[in-house]
Amino acid sequence: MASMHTTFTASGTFSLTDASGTTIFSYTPSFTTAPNTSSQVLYSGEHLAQTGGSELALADTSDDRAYLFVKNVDTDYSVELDLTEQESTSKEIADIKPGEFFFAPVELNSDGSGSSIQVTAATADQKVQYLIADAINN
Amino acid sequence: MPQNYTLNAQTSVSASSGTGFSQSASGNFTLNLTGIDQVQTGRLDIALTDTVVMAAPTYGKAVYIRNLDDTNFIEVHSAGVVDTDVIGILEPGEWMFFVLRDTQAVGASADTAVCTIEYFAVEIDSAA
Repeated sequence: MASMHTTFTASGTFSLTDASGTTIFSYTPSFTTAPNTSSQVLYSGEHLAQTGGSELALADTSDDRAYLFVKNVDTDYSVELDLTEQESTSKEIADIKPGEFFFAPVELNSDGSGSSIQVTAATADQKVQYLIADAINN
Repeated sequence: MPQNYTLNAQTSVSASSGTGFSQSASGNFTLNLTGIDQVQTGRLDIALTDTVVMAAPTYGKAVYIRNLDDTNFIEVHSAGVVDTDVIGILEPGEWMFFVLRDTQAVGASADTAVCTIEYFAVEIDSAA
């Protein structure tokens, strides 16, 4: 249904400076998608990543990609991100310490069915905040 | 000779539905890096086969990649095998940023034709 389309925007600023204060590089990327008329889901919230692993659901994702933003908002330990049921994946896609974030258009399994994002805290449970939105098929 | 650096990262994302519903999120952080050998940045052509974006680091890395092509998508993966351990898929103009504390290289491959990326890949030390 056209009225359910979703538009996604991402912008960032990244810079590296050396010990003398010289800027090595600076990037300010940004993009905004065209309205995605097949989009079915827009999830955001806060989740307790457990040491044994727990999942951010993607049950109703319609496409084979999703925009994924996850931030470790706790204070003590790192959190690993893994995509389950993703194409041939066995390694984590991020390892974020408190305050750090991950952002990428990630690949899901076929139409997204059966896919989930697993978050696993090191040492003790940690809170993460997230935003997940359907991305167009590639 | 290893050098010390400061990496600043900030990102804002938002998604808006045609219904008027919208959600947003943002983050920013600083990494103080000590004794760093690998700092790579610039533009790189990504072939249809695996193209090394960053060789295997000692402890981990912070990586930004933007697909500058205006037609075709690319895949970004851990280690060096196409279609395996995929971290992200970038359509034209899209970008990604991630921190991984592992010793895997970062590779990329194009799907249809060679694509150019804008990128940086910075090694992070064991304390970062």
